[in-house]
Amino acid sequence: MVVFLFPGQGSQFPDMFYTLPNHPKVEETIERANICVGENPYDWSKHSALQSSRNVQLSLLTIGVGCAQALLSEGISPQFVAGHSVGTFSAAVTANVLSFEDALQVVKYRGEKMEEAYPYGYGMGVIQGLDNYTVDHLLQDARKEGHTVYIANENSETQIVISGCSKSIEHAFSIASEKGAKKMQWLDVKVPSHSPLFSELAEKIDQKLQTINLSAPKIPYVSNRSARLLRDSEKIREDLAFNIEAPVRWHSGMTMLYERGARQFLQLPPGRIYAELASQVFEDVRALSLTNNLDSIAKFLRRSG
Amino acid sequence: MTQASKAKRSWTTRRDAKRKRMQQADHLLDGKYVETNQVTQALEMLIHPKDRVVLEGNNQKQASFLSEALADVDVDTVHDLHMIMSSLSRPEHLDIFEKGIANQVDFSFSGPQSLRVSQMIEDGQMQMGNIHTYLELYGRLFIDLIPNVALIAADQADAAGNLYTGANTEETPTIVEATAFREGIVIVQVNERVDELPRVDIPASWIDVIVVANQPYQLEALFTRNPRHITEIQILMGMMTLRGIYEKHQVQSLNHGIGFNTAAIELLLPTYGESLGLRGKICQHWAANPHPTLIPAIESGWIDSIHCFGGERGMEKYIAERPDVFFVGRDGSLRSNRTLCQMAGQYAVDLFIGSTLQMDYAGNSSTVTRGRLAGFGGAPNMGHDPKGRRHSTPAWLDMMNPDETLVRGKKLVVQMMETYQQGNTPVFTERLDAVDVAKESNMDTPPVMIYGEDVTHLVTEEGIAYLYKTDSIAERKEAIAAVAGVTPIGQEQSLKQKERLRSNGIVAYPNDLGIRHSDAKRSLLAAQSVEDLITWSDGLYDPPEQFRSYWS
Repeated sequence: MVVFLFPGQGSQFPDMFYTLPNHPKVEETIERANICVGENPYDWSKHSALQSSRNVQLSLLTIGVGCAQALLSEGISPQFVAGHSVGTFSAAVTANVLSFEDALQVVKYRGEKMEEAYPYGYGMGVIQGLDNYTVDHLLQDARKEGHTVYIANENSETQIVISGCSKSIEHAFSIASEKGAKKMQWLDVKVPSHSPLFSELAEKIDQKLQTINLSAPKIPYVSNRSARLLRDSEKIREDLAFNIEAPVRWHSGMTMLYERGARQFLQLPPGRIYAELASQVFEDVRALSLTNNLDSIAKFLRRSG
Repeated sequence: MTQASKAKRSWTTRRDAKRKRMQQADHLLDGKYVETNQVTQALEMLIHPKDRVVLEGNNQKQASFLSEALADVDVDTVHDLHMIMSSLSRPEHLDIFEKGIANQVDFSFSGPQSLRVSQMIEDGQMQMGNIHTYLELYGRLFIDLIPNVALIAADQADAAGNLYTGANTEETPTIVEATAFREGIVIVQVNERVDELPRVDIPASWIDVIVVANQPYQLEALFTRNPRHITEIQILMGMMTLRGIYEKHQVQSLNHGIGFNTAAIELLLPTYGESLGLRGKICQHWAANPHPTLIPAIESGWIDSIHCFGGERGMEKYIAERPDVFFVGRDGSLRSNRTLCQMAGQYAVDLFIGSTLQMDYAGNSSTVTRGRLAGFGGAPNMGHDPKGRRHSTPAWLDMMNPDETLVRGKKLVVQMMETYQQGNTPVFTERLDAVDVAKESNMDTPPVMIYGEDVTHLVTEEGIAYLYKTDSIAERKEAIAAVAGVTPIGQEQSLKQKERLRSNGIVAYPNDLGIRHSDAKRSLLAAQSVEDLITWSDGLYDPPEQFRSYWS
């Protein structure tokens, strides 16, 4: 049994639509996105278009759902689904909680509003080599000094993503360095995701989701905010809506799955960061990423049950 | 008081209740045996809501077939159980709570499920009694946590229901005793039914229901340390410990745990220890699991006796051929007993040595990290000074404070670790994470593993701190700092302070012990690989697959 991992913003790269597995379900999904949004999805991943969070988010949703559908049609059904940030929408669609078209509408809104709210001067960065507790305290101190910066994501015990005003992130980087952080790096994300800066927008997304028909998940879904397994559509709705205002507890979510016995993880495109994290953190885990070798991955997963 | 004034009551309610349950399940039983595929049905009849249920499982042996069966029972029939478990370690152990089959727990260790335990307590799916030490948990089974039902595992049963638990006897007799002799129901999964047992570990009259499991119980090789991974820093620390503690205090009897540090010491006995002329003078009696890294010391005549908590996969044949050293049955196989070995390790040995992830400046240590509830198993039992002890050995007497009128000795409790943990985190910290964890989880007391007042020695790659010689908290902190290297507390200390402690014999550095850093080489290990251990054992040690490295 395998866990599907759906990446969030930061994993995108130019022209990624051209690198997807050649599979009818992928093409069909891209076509559905085209009809639903009225734009050519291939254009979303052009180098210049990726400057827009909205395009990135729509791309990630379409690619995640398309590749998951392809695997499902090849007989690979996941034991659990876990999405990161906008990846939660891909996970929820794959778990049959909402339709792809409904997800496209919500994600389009989500992306546009996020961008509108913070068009420039904000972003996200990663600190390596300090734990969550240390970074949390460091940011609390920074906020007391008037900075706008929050923990956005716990990737692993010593890899913490922060979010906020660019200048505050720079400040946090310099303090982190003094405290012994090994590496600090900007992420390719232009908005301060997973922070209270998006509380208002989260409410609006929730209102939008409440008008949509949601079903109970066919596959248990890992919550971003609580690192719990969710089997109830109401709770999944809240997680989809409010994950932009709270840190993603990715590492806890993965640990929870591991404790439940999950040992095979597959990251859907684009990228392979979450697969790599899983194999770094857990010694006896097999973590793969689906690049363009869908046939061999499907065969492999079928063989290993 | 006259006879008439005494209210009439039944004195056999427990017996009657048991009889009734057994009658309800009678149609599923052929003698004591229930069919493999009817076990869940049997559990639904034999276990009632709110029962106290002991599910056998520790860090080695697991009653895995019964735990899966329990997770499958109908929650409308069986619910709100109070589980008592040495170890919460398998996914379905937690599923039992998630489904509502159980809601209360008392346990000792939950390392492999520590995040989910923490989540489920937060979510109210699990109410925690206490995180116990092994001996407290076993003790409570006879006092106020007496089980209604015990679910246990054995290797074999015969037609009458006698059990063979062999090398992995572990805590089975303790659990069964607490249950069977107070009218509880004992249900056992066996790997196979045989005509004749190699020996009887548990008599049939203590057992009520037997099921032949669809696969053998889970058994982990937890105490196997591949010598290939022992580092030269660990060898240096091992040499210091041998000279500066074992030799200095003439340590005769001891416990070693799971670490690579102590594996290094075991492999230094036949080489470095021999060169110091210590064979027959130290380390003769052990309360320990049958670590494969003990083989070279056994083979070269260092070790007189080893009593074991449990077995270790791959060591069966070797142990059977070394009955002078191990406790074995007439059939030749090991007899382990976790309760008795823990008790021996607590009360009867000179020295406990262990490792930790964090130590505060007063010497308190804990392996607890934030957001996890893991427990410590047996380390706190062995890692403390049992103050009532009175049999005097040279090591114990060496810890005496001669200024006291009623002089008495002390157990040697040694903490041994490198000053920096993986990920560049100093092991020494002003405040243990355990303090915050206690607050977050509403625990009555912080989950400290070993209390600073009990720690007599601290060994790091820098040197040894003889904490038992310190006479105040402040001096204890200084002594810790003197071996804390370049961690923040270590850097606070001046050379002058170190020199004072050194001249008072409170700390010793490698030079003081006649050890050169350049001597700490891997070639000093009696075995440098699992293959070497096999050779030492005359081919009797048969390591599990994951430790075979023919391809590397």
